[in-house]
Amino acid sequence: MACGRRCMDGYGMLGLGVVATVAAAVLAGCGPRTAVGVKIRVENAWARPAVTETARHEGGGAQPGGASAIYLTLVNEGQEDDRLITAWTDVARRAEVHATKTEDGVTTMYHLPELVVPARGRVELRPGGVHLMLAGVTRNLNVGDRFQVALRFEKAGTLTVDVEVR
Amino acid sequence: MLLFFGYTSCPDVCPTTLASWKQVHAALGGDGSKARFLFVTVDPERDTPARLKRYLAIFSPDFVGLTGTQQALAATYRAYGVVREKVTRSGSGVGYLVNHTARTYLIDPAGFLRLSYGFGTLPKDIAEDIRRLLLEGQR
Repeated sequence: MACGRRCMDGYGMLGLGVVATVAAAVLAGCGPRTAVGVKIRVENAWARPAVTETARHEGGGAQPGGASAIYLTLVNEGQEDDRLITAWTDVARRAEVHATKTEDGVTTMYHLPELVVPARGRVELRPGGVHLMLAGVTRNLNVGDRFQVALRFEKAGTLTVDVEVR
Repeated sequence: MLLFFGYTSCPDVCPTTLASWKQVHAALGGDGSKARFLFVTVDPERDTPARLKRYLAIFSPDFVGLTGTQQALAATYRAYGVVREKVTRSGSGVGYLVNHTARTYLIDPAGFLRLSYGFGTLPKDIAEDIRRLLLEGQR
């Protein structure tokens, strides 16, 4: 993230117009940031442990199982709203933004097709609320393990985030 | 005794509850060994005894997983007013989710249901209740 800050500050000093191409080149060197004025920072990314084992039950075939959730905080330091559109990771076949709700003591989850991170705002994904659900976990996630998840934002592009299993 | 109905492919609520139980267990200190922590599956198709054991061991070796015949489980769900509903997402290839009751039940040493807790109840509050029940049992 240090690279991002330095480059964005650099762009601010360069100003507009003639030097736009230079700025674009500087930004390109920074990796994920593709749009001017958009900067997403990720804090405190962690996930629940999971087991992958595919169970067999009498009369039933192998059934995929194994799920986890990633929790993190998205901080938008830019001047424009951004959206988390998609996410993927090596450790699960699918990563989706889900929200948990509890009604009459029964919990259900529903898929959020996108998650808005407002300009100069932050969105916290935390237990019992909005989370990044991992379904079809492909390897055991034990406490202390680390893995990476890629988050693709509409404007900020793709960020790769380190996640710790807790 | 604490009782919860959940499943091992549950991404959010079940592991959060089990992590909270771990804190309850720790808060009980020496009394922790007198309390029992039972996790009854709402997904017997996938949760074999071996899988339950492996999953719960991630949180604590003292947590016990329970499954049973369909009939036995149905009677247990009914007795606790537990609702479970399988949600299949077509073409997801990653199995299904189960909507389920997410309360934790506190049962006293004589076998009576004394309290139930909504999801998100503070571990220290649950530990305090267990301590009171253990004291009651000594009188």
